[in-house]
Amino acid sequence: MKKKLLFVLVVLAIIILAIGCSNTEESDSESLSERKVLQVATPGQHYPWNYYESGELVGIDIATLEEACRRIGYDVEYKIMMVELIYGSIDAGKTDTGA
Amino acid sequence: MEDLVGKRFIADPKSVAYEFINEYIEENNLQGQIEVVASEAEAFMEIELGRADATFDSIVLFDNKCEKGDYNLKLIGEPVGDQKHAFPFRKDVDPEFLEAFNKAIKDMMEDGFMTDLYMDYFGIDISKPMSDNVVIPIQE
Repeated sequence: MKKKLLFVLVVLAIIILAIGCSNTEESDSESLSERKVLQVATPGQHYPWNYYESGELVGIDIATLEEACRRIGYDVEYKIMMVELIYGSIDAGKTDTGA
Repeated sequence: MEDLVGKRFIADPKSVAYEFINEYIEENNLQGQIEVVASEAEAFMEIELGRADATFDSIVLFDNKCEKGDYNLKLIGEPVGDQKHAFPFRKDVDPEFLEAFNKAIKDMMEDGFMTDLYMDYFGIDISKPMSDNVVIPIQE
């Protein structure tokens, strides 16, 4: 019985690992020009480049990115993080650029 | 810049201003004649309180910083340099995207989009190269 339970757990673990891997592969294989969404890391608190006004993320960098992406048919998604983490996030491929 | 002789210049040791003033002192053999205060304290506040005389800062952010902190400071002297502003990407960024994005930014510089944006925020157009982004505020 104990052995059977262990086997089930091992199988479960393998399945979970496999799902994890396939997800990673999927997101990695999709290039930026296929995904058409620019992921931007920003602290959202550096006036006048990126900051919140009436609950909305605004600023010179934000306006520039939004307009450039609008012109080339891309959406923009933001990930709010401390400024010290931005370069690491881009380098690790978790975001495409920073503002 | 000569007016800084005999003054206390304050700058964060991690900043461009700190690097610049130390290079300036060395190049002009002004060791001991300009006192450099390495401090992470808010430079404008220290100047306002009379604990330092000058620092460097960006021309475009100066008015906003003074207004926010209620500082009674002014800009003096000649511009000492430019700083570039850019979006960072990985070196292996999708070339198709990069080409389109760079073209869009270039177009925005040329068709007045960036000029309008900078005028709205700063009242001056920094989309063209200029050498007055960094100047010296000193106590009034």
